[in-house]
Amino acid sequence: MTDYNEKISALYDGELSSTETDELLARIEDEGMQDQLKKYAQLSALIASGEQESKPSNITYIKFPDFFQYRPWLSNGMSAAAAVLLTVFLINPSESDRLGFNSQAQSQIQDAINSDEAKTNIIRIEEGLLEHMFNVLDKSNVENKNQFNPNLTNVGFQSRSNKPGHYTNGKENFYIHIADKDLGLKRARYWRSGTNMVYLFPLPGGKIITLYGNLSLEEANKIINSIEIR
Amino acid sequence: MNKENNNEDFYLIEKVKERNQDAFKVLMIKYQPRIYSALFGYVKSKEDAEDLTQQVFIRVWNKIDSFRGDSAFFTWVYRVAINLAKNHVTSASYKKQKLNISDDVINFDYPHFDSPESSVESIETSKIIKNFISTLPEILKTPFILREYEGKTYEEIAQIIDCPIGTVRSRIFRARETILDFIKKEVSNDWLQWEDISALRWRA
Repeated sequence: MTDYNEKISALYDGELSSTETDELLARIEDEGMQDQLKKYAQLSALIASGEQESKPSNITYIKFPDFFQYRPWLSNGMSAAAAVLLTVFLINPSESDRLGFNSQAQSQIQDAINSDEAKTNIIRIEEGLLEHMFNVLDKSNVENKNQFNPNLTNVGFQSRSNKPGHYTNGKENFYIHIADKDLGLKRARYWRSGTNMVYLFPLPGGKIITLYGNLSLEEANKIINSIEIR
Repeated sequence: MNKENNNEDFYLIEKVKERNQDAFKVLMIKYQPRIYSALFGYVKSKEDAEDLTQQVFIRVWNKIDSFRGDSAFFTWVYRVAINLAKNHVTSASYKKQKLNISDDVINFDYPHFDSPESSVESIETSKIIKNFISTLPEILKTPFILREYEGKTYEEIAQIIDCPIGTVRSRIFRARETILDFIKKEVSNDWLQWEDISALRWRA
């Protein structure tokens, strides 16, 4: 029985062979199996829900503060991109200090929850940032010959000649974008987007650099520090 | 392991494309709570969120052939959900549409989950559960967190913690069962219960 239940757990994770999956699918009407899957799904939903709770590791996951409640007018591009953006996550204070990030966003979101006025301001800023980010994500799949293409060989990344704005070091790949937009971004922010990360870095004069890819924080920081903006 | 395109649901999706309802049921069970929760956050109405969730999976069933695997399956389903929610809040004809979706009848009972909002009832309860997760023995906690929070595959977890894949599978299962047992005993068994809205027939 334990082996059967263990297989259900693996089925839930998509980790069974096709033969094993077929065997379990043949028993899908088993209420015990359905009940087990539903409990796992509930547990995953709880974990995904965040709500300023601490993840039991050094990363704090928080739910975007009632994001959709405040923007029923999502544009098409945004709604598509919203699908990949479920969780904002912030590094804990000690680590963020070391990496040059801080927990401003976390406190802002707390403020947003506590104060109507702050909520309005924060949501406005978040909307602007997200809209910008979604636009960048949309553009990342489109060849754009006017794309910002800095030389990043000093930090180990080569531009991919066939895809402007795309870089790789063989292991990590990302897309870079720069825009003249004063969105009120004062400090670096970053989001998970599926298996990728989105980093937004503010520059003097209101420009924003966006990095999108499977980049670590450390690499993103190195890349940004290596770029000279004129 | 049946993964292609880095999609953990690849095999089930292929089965759904062959119109296998059992495979679809697994996917529906797996993702419904998260979709419902997202929709509830959007529309702030239990009834509307339920209606929309139902419509999401009807649409997923109908449009599954258009899923190319470029993104995670959940991402795709979530996109469907958001588009429907957007239509919901902008379309006056929503309530008419939801009763007349299309023609083919699929005999899926529509499983209803209590939403985290309604049944856990408070962030405090959620915190209790997460705190409990943090107290799990390392051998269970690490693979569970890597799987549930980081979305790592069993193979990746096996590499990270340097043990066989079978051990990872066993530990994740044990972690889940330990957490669910804790919830049942210490939090609220209600949170884990669900009810079928058996009168509902899916029209897809």
